[in-house]
Amino acid sequence: MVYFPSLGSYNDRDGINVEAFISLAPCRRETVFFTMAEPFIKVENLFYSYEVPSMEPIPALVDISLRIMPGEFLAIVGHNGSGKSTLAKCISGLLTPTQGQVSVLGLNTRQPANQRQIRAAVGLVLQNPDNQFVAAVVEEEVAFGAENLGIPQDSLRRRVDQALLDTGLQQERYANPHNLSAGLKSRLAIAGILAIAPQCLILDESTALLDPLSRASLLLMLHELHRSGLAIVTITHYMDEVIDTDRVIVLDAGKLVIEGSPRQVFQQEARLREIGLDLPPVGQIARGLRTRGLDIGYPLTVEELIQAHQEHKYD
Amino acid sequence: MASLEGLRHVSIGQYLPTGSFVHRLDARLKLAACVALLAALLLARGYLVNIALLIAIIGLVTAARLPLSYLLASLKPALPFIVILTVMQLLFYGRGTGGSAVWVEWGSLVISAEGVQLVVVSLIRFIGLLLCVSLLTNTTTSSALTHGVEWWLRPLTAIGLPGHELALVLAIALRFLPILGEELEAIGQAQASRTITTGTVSRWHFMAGARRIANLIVPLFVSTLRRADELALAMQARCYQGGKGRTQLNPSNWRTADTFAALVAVAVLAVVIILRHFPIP
Repeated sequence: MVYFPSLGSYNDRDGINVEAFISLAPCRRETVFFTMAEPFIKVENLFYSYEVPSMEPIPALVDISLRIMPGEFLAIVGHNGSGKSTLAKCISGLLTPTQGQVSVLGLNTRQPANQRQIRAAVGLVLQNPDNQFVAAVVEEEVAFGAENLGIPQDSLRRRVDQALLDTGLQQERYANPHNLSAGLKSRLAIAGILAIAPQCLILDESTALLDPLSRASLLLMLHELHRSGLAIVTITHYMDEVIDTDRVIVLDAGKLVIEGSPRQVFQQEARLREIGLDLPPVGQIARGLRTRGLDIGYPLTVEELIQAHQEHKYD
Repeated sequence: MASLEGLRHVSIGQYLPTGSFVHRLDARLKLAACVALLAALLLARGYLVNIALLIAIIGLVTAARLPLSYLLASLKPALPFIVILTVMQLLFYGRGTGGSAVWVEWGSLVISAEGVQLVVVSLIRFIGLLLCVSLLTNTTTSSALTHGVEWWLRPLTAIGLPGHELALVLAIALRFLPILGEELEAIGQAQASRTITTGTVSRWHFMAGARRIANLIVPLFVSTLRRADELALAMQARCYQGGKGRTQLNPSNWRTADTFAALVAVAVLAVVIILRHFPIP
């Protein structure tokens, strides 16, 4: 196995079952090309239904199969009630599948004994930061998860410092989380997960409550984290956040309906519109041009659009 | 909605970092000292001892560099009740037992010196209690407080009570106070915009106030349960499995200053108990 020096200092796996992590230890971006073979999250024929007393169970996920590779940037899109959040909770082991299997690092989420390792490997950030904070001081809030794992004090301190650095919260170290701005609260929720040193970060609509500026800076941070080797799964209904991800899956009524690279997904315009999703702004412009007879292809970014436009031969 | 806006400024149960020496004291000591001071306040007799205690507590608040007005702001919502209780006690206390001087007598209403003393001492006690508890929570982070409570509950843990869990519940309850305050304010404003409450209900209109509170409490409960659900999920997502095997980012460490402060707290309580046996005004 190729072993790369890690960029951050999260990979001190002390205090946790080491064997489970060795197989993937520093799964930094560069490593991915060499150890691509093994996906670290496997979802096989997953069904999940919410039980409601004295009513038929409500199906939320229907026959989902999915693999997530180390260091991948995956986007899950779909409109409200399509099962995105349920899928995220199933992957992080918070929900047990009604049918089918989910395994993380080869550990089945059905086994209660695996829960700790699975949750330490897959960090789930829920949508509303206000409802997630336990501590009254930022640095203690960041430490909460790592404290639960029993990380010894000196490496705990290192992890908290690194998480604060990665999320740009060093200035707020001693502040009360309650008094932070919405953007900083989202960052704090992410920092609390980073200190657990997961292999994969799942964000359940973390950008939904933010203003455009905070959203852009949060996305920048996510890409920074991704470059350092962390796998990221982002759940969103903003199509423009999907453009620079590695892979996109589209959920509709609990079913996985489209899967592929952003380009492949955006080419299925008609299918997307059927589901009630629209293209990102650049895609909409390109679509407008295409319907007016300009063969401009399927550009994703403004640069691609301009290039396609310049290369287009007008009659 | 002015009365609702006050709720987000609850100072009791909040943490205000000022970096004073009171902040640096060990949480276990502060918990015990707080209990000792509360006991002293409840046991103290007469004007002098109570006033001395109140001055000492205000001294501590100043030493902790906490703004006194900020701590006292918590009294505001309770003000009408304090005033009514004070007036009732003053008017209906009667002659007392010791045959103290009667200042005003009008039918069955008697204002005696003993009654006045009771009222004043009760007020001092109430303010003292509030300041004491606010002092504890404003100078101690919730996690330090959790660990402190956990440490004191250790004997109970030995007989099977969930000490850590109880302490964490306390910490979370304190953290959610201002959030619930804001929520209450939002619910109130949402209802006002749909004219569920007509005009501003004065602080002194109790019946109208009670009806309005019922309108607010039910939605607040629903949203609180939802929040609790999400918090539980978020804690699980961060590998929370109870207190077993947890480590601490900032472990408490007992220093000489803590021992000194503990001795002072014990001394204060002892002096108050001894003074009970002397006739001091």
